[in-house]
Amino acid sequence: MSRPVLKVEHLKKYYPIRKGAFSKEKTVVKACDDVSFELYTGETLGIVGESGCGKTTTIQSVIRLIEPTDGTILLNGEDFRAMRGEELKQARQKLKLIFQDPYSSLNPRMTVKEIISEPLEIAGVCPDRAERDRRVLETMEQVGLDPSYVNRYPHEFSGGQRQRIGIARAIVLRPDVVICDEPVSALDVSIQAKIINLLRQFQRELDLAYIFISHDLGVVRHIAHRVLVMYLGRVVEEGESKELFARPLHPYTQALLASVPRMDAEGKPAPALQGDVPSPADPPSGCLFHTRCPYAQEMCAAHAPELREVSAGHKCACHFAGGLPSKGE
Amino acid sequence: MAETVLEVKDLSITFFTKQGALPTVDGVSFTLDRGETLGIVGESGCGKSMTVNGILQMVPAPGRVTGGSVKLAGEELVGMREKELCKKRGQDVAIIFQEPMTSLNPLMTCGRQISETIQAHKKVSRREADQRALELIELVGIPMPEKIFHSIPGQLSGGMRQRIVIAMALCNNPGVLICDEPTTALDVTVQAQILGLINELKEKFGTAVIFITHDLGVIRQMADKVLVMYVGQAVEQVDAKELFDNPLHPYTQGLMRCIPGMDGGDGDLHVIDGSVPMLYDLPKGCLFAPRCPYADDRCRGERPGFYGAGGHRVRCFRCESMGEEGSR
Repeated sequence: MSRPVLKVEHLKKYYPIRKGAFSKEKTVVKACDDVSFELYTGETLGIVGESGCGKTTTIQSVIRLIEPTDGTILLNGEDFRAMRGEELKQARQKLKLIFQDPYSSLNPRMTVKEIISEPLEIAGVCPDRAERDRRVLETMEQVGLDPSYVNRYPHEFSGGQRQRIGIARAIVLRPDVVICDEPVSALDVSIQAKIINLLRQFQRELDLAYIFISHDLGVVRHIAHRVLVMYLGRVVEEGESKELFARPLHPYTQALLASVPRMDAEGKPAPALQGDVPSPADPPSGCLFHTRCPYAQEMCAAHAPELREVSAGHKCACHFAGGLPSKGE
Repeated sequence: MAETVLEVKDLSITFFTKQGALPTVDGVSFTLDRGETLGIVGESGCGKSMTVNGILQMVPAPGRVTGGSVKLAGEELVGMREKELCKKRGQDVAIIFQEPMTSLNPLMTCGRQISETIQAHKKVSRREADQRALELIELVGIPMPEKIFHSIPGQLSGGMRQRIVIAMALCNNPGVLICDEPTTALDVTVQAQILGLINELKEKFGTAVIFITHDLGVIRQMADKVLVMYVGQAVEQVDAKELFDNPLHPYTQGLMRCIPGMDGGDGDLHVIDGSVPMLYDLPKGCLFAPRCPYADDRCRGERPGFYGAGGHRVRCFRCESMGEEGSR
């Protein structure tokens, strides 16, 4: 087996907060707690979960947009967390981001050319301006943008085209890993399909590894090879995409899947989960999910389950993974 | 026969801009019976929201309702005086918007916002209105209603806020409830709760619902009948079951096929070529022709009618044999 391009171990990001506005007592919010994963070349890792479950915090910690509290990040086998200055800047060329909102993630006062060539300038990989321009035009063509639009501004483009500009900017430096934070959530379904196809095409052509965050389980199932399911900052289930969607082990994953409105099934939706995600500032005891879990038993409130391997490559953090007790006992 | 609460006939909305008169909604017709749910689907900018704005007579300038009629419980709304309309809105027809935070006053307690709406339409004391508001908060499934009554919207989660908006919409027991993408901003688990709540309340009060969404999965679960819109026109209109079993318009077929399924294949997703045309630069023929895989010369030169019989109507020449446009 080849070496993973990105290896994250026991990544933690804790935010200290005060309990109450005037209280002196301090506590921590575990926005991302003990997250580990490996990412191989040409592979897509999907991260799913409700809002506030730590998806974005996790990836921001991975690329050190926010400094993680603890954990190891190995990029191509090198310790990414130990890097400083120029070394960090160079390493970051290998990790690129695509954002959710193509309206706010592009500078409205820069032309498409400036937007796409900026990473090249920062990296200093091609000091020759003519060469840079050639790379910009080439990349525009790759993502399906008409190169004659090179001097236009972002507002002149539609949502789907702007997302293509975002993708062009991310891939122009030929990164190893592209992190996509809800890249298609703001788009219409017909445009969403085009962008997903484009991302998959680049993965094949450029051997990219993706971390793909989405709340749309259909999209994740389609694009991801492996999936992490997160709840309140912790990974509750991890597995091969096909296996995980066919045989979800964790009650939370099962509830997420049951909540998706499907075109092929008639009938009224039955809410699979009651209530909202608990406040991360005051998380439940034991298993974080026990307050909403239909199978919760006494031991769930007392002991936090470990993430353990149930079958080959399929991990689940539930006391009853593989053999759930009957509901509400 | 069920009682018809809303009858929309040939509703047209035109925006008068520098680029000329733009037909934002073009001849949309439907009827809605008590307890029935109509789903309206389509991509952004296809006139879904503008259609309901037209129903409520709230079309923003420079747009105007330029034709057709909207009958709410037999009463014509087009041309009604603003003062009369204000009595109807919130009383006989209520609307829920996509983003609950923007439709709530951030500085007013949730309870007061609901009781204010009650007092706007009924001559009741503050105490009675507050009491009713509290009942409503309980009705929409909010735990600890007294506490939430005194909370401001910023203290609540997205799902809770949307429940408050639903409570507010239902406070005068309207005949028609319009939901404009009410769950788009919510997580799937919360979405399932809100959809369940809307269905439950609809059955309890016999409210007719117009449900706007771009998610065909949601339509499948909510709607009794569906209106598929493309660039301001209804392109397919039929019972929900029939639409999913037998979609006839190429646009509907395309929309269904480009959604990554939960058990679909691994190949590339189906795409609809091109993009939605601009209203100031509409194609001469069928509006969908430039993106349609079946388009021929006739499609590019002529506008198709709205063909169909037996309640399944399609705006496509391929369905011409289904019979001429009849008025329903």
